[in-house]
Amino acid sequence: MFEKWLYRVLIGLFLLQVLLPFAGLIQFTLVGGSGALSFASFATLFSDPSFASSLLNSLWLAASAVLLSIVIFTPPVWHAYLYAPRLLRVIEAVSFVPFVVPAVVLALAYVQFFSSGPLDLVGTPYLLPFAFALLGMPFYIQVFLNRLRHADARAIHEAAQTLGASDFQAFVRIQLPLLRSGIINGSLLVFTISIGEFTITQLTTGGSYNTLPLYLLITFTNNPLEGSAMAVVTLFLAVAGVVAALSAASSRRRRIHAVTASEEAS
Amino acid sequence: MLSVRNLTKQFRDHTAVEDFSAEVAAGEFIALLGPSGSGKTTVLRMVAGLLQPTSGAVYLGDRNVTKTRPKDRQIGVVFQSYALFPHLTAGDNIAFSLKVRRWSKQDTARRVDELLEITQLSHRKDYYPEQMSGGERQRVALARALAFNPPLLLLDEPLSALDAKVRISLREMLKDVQRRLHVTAVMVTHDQEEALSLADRVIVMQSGQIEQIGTPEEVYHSPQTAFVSTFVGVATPIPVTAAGDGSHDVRWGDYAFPWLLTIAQKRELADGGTHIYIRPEAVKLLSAPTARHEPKGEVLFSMFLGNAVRVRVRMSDEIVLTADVMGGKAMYRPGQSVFVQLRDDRVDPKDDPRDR
Ligand SMILES: Nc1ncnc2c1ncn2[C@@H]1O[C@H](COP(=O)(O)OP(=O)(O)OP(=O)(O)O)[C@@H](O)[C@H]1O
Ligand SMILES: [Mg+2]
Repeated sequence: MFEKWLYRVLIGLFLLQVLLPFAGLIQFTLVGGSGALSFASFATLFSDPSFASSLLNSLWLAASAVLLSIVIFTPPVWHAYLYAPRLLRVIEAVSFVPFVVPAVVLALAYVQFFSSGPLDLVGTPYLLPFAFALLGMPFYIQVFLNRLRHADARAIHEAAQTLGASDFQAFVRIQLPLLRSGIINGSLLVFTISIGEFTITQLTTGGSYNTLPLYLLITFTNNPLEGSAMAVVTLFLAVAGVVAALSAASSRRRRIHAVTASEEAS
Repeated sequence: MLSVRNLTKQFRDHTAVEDFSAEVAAGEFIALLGPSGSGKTTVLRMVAGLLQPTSGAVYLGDRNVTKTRPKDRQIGVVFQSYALFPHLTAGDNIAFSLKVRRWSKQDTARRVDELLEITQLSHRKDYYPEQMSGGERQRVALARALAFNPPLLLLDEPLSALDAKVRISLREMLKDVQRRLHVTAVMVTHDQEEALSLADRVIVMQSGQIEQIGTPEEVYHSPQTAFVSTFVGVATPIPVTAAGDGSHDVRWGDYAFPWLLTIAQKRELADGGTHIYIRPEAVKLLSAPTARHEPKGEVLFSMFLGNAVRVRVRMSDEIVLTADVMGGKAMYRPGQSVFVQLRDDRVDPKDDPRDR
């Protein structure tokens, strides 16, 4: 009995700790310094053209990073999981490097490597999708591996082969749908990491390229009210993104339930 | 139909399969029987082309397919975990091999319906694997493996994940389907009852090697190695001594039983073997000794099996016999004294002048 209450209190404290800052943020945005409820800070935010451009910049950077992750990480991890367990261990170990190394170090490495010679890309945003994909790599690979391990992927691939499918047919028609939820959830993590990335963006572009986090910092320093509205928008964007991706991942489930339901009805 | 020649598979320092050779005739049902880790799955995977043998060859008819990719071997495989495609319905799972072979829509639909009917799954056509029971998934896996009319079907412990009742009914269906479609089948199992009841011939394996190939009767009644006699069926080894007069008569204490032995066992004893193996149904329990002075034992416990009562009888400190008393109403209480006769139904009574 006592343990049950203790448990509830702890959960309550945890939720308060998570939710209070957000509640404060929303309250501050809507009421602000004037004391009256107002949406003025949102109006200011949306009428600022540099907000729209930073949002677009962040979206295309994140989308490119996701695309890169899917294309670069999926096939080798899949292949190693099925056919080369020792190589897989190496890949897993290497994939943790960006997780362990601070972003500042990664950024400096990038600046160093790309600041001269034929790859003079420092100061442009074209490096960023690669850097973001690298940052997201440990998360993408773990999530995808997790799906592989739970999906009986190897036996299913072998089944497709014995049924007459070529490797390519079996990969596209069976493995991709089978592993889709892993790819989607991994992409989701790369996307959120990319949307919020600050350090590498700042250091490699020297602040010349406006993304959502950079915009947030600048506006917040200049005008705290607008900055907090910005934060709320970011929050909502993140929530909407999570919901959209989760619903995509569970669409297969819903289809199955629909079949069951129609069967029960008839 | 299928000819496997001197297959060997080495995993680094470990030999999983060694010098495995077998010939399978068209239409035959072969069971590969052996304990866990004996290399059954490894053999099956090499036949299917999913694993390259270290040495040896696989022939389908007179075609050497050792280097042929699995997709070009035209072999149906039923996997232990079923490996159904979870995002496809039962019907689409079955249709997959026909779609990659570019069958026409009508032909595909007709073949799928035919297989659903054979496996009694017509009402599950639009179900996804996760909506089906284990037995239904198993049947989808079977139908899917048979869809493209493969001449050879491989099954890796197809029934092991099912409960006893479903297992028996699926066993019958499997045999029926195999006969009806005239497909040659090789099934891996570690369940000896399954192997004996389904197969035309049984290959008993241990530690990557073949112990014996034979019909279920041969494997059960004429085991050629000590391993086969204990692994196939229940058998109690009892230490015996040869009579020493060249007759290979066997003595257990002062109890002689010349009629019990198979030729192989006699040969083994002549080669210096020291045990014979007694099956539960070869033990007869008497409440009083006859003129032959049967050895006395003590009942340890009895167990009701439905059609028989299984009794464990301690004969001495080392020897505990297992006896199956068929259809009897007799009661056996722990501690009770019984007298043991050993009989062997395969031996012509003429060979045993003293009894029967
Ligand atoms: N990929 C592999 N790498 C290394 N060793 C392996 C590999 N596959 C199988 N083995 C070994 O080969 C031996 C035979 O394995 P196999 O799977 O053929 O046994 P099995 O008879 O099918 O057993 P079970 O009844 O448990 O399925 C085992 O000792 C196993 O550890
Ligand atoms: Mg196995």
